[in-house]
Amino acid sequence: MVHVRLDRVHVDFPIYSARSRSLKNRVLAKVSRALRRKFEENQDMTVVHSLRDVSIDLRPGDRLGLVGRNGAGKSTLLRVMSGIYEPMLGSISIAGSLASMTDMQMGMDAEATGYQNIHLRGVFLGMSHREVRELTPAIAEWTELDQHLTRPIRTYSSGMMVRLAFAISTAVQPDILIMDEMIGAGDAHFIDKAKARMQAMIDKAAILVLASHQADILHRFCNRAVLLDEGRVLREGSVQDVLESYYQMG
Amino acid sequence: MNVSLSAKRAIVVAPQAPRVSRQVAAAAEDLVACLQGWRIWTMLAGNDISQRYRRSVFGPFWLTISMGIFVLALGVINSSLLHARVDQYLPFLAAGYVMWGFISSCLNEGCTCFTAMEGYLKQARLSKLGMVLQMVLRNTIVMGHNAIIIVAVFWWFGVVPSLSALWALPALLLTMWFCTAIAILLGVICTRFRDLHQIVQNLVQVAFFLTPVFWDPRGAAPKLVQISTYNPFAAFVAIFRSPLIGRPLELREWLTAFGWAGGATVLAAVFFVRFRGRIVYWL
Repeated sequence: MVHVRLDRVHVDFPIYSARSRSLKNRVLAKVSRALRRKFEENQDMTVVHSLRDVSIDLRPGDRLGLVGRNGAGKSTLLRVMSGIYEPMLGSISIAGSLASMTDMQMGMDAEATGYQNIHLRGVFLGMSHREVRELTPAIAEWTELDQHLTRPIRTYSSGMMVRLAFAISTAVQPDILIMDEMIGAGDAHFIDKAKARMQAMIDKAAILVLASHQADILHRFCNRAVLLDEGRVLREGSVQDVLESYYQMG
Repeated sequence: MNVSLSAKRAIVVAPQAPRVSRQVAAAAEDLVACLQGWRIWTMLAGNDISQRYRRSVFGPFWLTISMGIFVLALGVINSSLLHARVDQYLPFLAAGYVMWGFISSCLNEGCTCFTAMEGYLKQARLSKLGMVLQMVLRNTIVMGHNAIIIVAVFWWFGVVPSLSALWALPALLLTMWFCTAIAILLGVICTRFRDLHQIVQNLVQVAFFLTPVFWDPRGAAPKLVQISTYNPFAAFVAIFRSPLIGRPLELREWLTAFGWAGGATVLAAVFFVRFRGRIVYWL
């Protein structure tokens, strides 16, 4: 069954300085430590506790909103849920196909044409070459980029780029959908089109995780929420309750 | 227009399992993902090559051209310096240098095989092994272009390889395996320690002089030959070159190559299992 299960997950980030990134310095440090026992341990390495003791259990039908100030650990948590960062402590279990909409332009090549990029991204999304070819006309039609698709995407405007990236990224329906802020695309005409497409994708997904600062978005798409602060789950419950706690934080 | 992809296997990191078996299971999962997702890394390698073609008509042949000029110049100069016959020395140099080009590219690019893919590895759960294979495959395709140099030199001097030249193929496969293992090892360490890449680049430069590529172990100073017996690259260059230029197969060279490949594989496996999960954190 589709699920995302985090059990007491801890994530620590080593922040390496240029010195501790250097093997030469490490070797010298080891030597000098042996010479003068006083050499301070890890003086160049700061550890940031990014997530602490986070337990979340998501089942089909769950639409989780992630709330928290900048640096609270929302993006890290999204990446843990996507299986990118593996927790240092605790465990995570993910079942089902998963799509992370954190960077829709990942895997796109500025030198390649629009059509070639549809293929590139499609394969990254897990499609076979034949599946991509079958799906390409529909994606191309949706972007309304017509003959532009035969040109390298470095010639695109940023709006055109977003339209293409959005169309490809939303072409595959995942069981688990992970998003950092609600995404839209393009000008007025496209915003409505993109909204409808996004809505359909969210409706079909078994599980949604959405990090957002916007109350109306959270109310509309989520049925439960988690408030993160300094990597801990501060509050868990209905969107209303969690948002209230969030605003009280000031 | 939406297609539903079949649900993938659950990613489970069992909490009860001891640390090591958890790491082994995760590394095995990476391997499975790499095999199942072969399209991703083959496409990345292919796209990189076709990108070079998009930028210029010759594409990767520019590398071949500069390598060809190097081989020609070094071949002509050295054959008179070493009083060797050009028609024997140039085929020897061409075959060895094309192989050396592959090995040295794999060593240098192995250092950056994870850091260069930061944009991908930080955005999606992708097989780390796939990133290494992508690099090895790309350099194999480049080597395929460079093989033209061997063909051209052989044709010019009328060297006709015998059927046993086919031994160069398993030799290439074994070298690819060895380079993959070394690239995993270097990739992991260089992601953590960023200055190692410069060190490796310098060592590769030195290794070129110590490897019998532009000097023939036959008739070289005994000291030099002795050093090259401890040089893994010498074995891989030799097993590829010897069948092409019609020298007899030497069991000792093959055994040495297998030994190095096996040792590198064990080391790479240990490092990969131990540090695979940390790679994304180090990026």
